[in-house]
Amino acid sequence: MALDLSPQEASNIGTELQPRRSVIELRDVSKHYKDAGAPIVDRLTLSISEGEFVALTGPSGCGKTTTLKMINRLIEPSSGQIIINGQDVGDLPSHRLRQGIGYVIQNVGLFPHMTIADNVAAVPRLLGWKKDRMTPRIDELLSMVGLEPSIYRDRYPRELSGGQAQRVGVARALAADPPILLMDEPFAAVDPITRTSLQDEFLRLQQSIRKTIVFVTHDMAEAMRLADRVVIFGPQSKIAQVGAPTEVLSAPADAFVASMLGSGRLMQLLSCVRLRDVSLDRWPTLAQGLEGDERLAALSSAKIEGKNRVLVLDEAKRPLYWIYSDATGESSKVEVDCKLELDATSLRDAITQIVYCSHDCAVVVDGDGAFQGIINIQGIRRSLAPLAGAGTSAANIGVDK
Amino acid sequence: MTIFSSSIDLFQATDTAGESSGFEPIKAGSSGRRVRRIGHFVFRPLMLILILGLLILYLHSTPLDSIDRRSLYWSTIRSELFQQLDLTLISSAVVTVLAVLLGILLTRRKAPIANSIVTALATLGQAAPPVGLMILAALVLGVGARTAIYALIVYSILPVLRNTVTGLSGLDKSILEAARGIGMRPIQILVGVELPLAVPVIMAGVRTAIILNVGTAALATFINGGGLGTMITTGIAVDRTPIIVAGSVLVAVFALAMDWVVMIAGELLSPS
Ligand SMILES: Nc1ncnc2c1ncn2[C@@H]1O[C@H](COP(=O)(O)OP(=O)(O)OP(=O)(O)O)[C@@H](O)[C@H]1O
Ligand SMILES: [Mg+2]
Repeated sequence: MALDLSPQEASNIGTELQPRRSVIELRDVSKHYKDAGAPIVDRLTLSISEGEFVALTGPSGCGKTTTLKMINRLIEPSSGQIIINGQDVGDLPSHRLRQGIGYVIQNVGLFPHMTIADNVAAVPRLLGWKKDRMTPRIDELLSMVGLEPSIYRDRYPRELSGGQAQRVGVARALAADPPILLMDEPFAAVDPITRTSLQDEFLRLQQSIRKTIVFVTHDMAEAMRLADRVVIFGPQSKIAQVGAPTEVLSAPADAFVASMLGSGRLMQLLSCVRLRDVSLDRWPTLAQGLEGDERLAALSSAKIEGKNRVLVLDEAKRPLYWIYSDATGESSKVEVDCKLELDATSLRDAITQIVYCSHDCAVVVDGDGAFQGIINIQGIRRSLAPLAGAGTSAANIGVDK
Repeated sequence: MTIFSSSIDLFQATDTAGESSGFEPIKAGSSGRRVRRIGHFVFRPLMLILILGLLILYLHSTPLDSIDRRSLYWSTIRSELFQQLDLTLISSAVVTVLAVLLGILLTRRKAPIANSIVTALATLGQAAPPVGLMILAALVLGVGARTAIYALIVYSILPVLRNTVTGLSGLDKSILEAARGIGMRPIQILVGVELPLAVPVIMAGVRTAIILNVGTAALATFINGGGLGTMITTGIAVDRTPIIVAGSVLVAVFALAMDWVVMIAGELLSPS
């Protein structure tokens, strides 16, 4: 059971495997201001495919916001080409271009003189939507970002908390259902706990809406948590590394990237790797309703494998309970107390759960609740071994080999 | 952001700063403020009625001859009142339109130089003594109400212009960027975001201009422009104290009444 993460495969984690159309393409894009000597963005080439979540990250002032704003032409590039859906962004009137791209700005930027509903409806109104289409859409969006429409619809931005305002900012960007979303530190202005829950909600939202997202953040951990691919800007406006979070975390390209990642790398890595990305251990199972001899046979063959219990599944393969055999051949039922979901659970969550679990291992199920295998601490350690070896010493990120 | 707040404070003491920002958090203290304002709204007209009553009492208790009476006929007073109203309203309306348009132009990109030049000129008009301005205008354009209105415009354009510029350029940059970022065109941003947000500040300027004009319109009489000032000049010319008293009181009451109207209009117009 090893975590098979060659770079190519690693970059596919969280995305389907078929090659996808590139939606946003930056070709040799540079930006420099007349008065400043060095370019802010230096010959950046990047291709972002449909439904991909890309995070731009790096130290303050490295050109993340500038790069983002060049995509919707709030800033004109000095040279190079930006292509969206096969069309040069310069070919379109800039307001048309922007109406088709959701934009969440660094400081929320809600319109203080408009109600929340009017704020959310800003883009649809520009597009000339009729009222009977707009009203249900506003309510839908507010619920989508976790704000009860009947309470918040008619409020003004100043009557919201920072976190609520951020949510409205996201709702406004999503209003006309643009396929592309640009987000500039959308969760920066809230406390860490709210930020984490906003991130979780946003990830869940993204599962269903599947937008192509370019997300700017200076918070490495946030980038790693959210993105399919991370672009790390280095000194002198160069890209230091591009890759999937697991790839970057397990093999930082250079000392700069390693220093940006900081000391919490192992924990971040554990957060990034999901149970679906590792191979699980098998465990003897038994169909529900089988009694007597069949049960005894199952228990004894489990014993040969060195296991003192079998897992009973119902007809949909959902785990029900453990059956233990004791020395006298009697058997006893024990509840399954630790069940983890394949797609939703990170290794980090798995470790936390297993520590509190009475059987030293957790049962893993898929989205429908069907049994997939089990995972325990040894299994996690084994799956981390190849990662720890790649590019850095195990001791460096705290893995005991 | 309030220019000439001193001239406003002369008439009333609410804090224009808090009122014109429009962004103050709604909950705390706002109900107290509201009560205080409503008090202001009601108190002002009561006070003015009281003053008028005292004036009438005074005139009744004073022996008046035929010259006095001719100046104090209701029809005379009414026509002077309307002249005063005309002078004030026309000049203020023109000033508002002119200064807001000018302010919009000056706050578009690439206009900082024009901005400083125009503001300097407007400051000049403001700094000149109003009587001098009136007489200068009459020398150039001839006497009459029209000239008086020109003089009033020159005299009162600065506060509206400056408040418009301040109001528009003081807006939160992130709001404007958001407006651009979601695909609003410049004209949509101006009409839909910038102007509505700047209204409280612009209105504070308009209010100052109206108050300046209400007072200064009393000087129009010096260039044959009519208005309530006529009573005072007549009173001085024929040496009759009752006429002078009545004229001065009416000018003051008129100014306070106009200020009250503008205050209420501002309250109704500013975002809740
Ligand atoms: N109009 C301008 N003229 C000159 N330099 C500018 C201009 N706008 C931005 N810069 C410079 O460009 C650099 C990159 O700015 P940018 O806003 O892209 O940084 P950032 O990576 O988003 O940083 P942060 O994390 O602080 O938001 C900064 O050093 C900034 O000083
Ligand atoms: Mg930035």
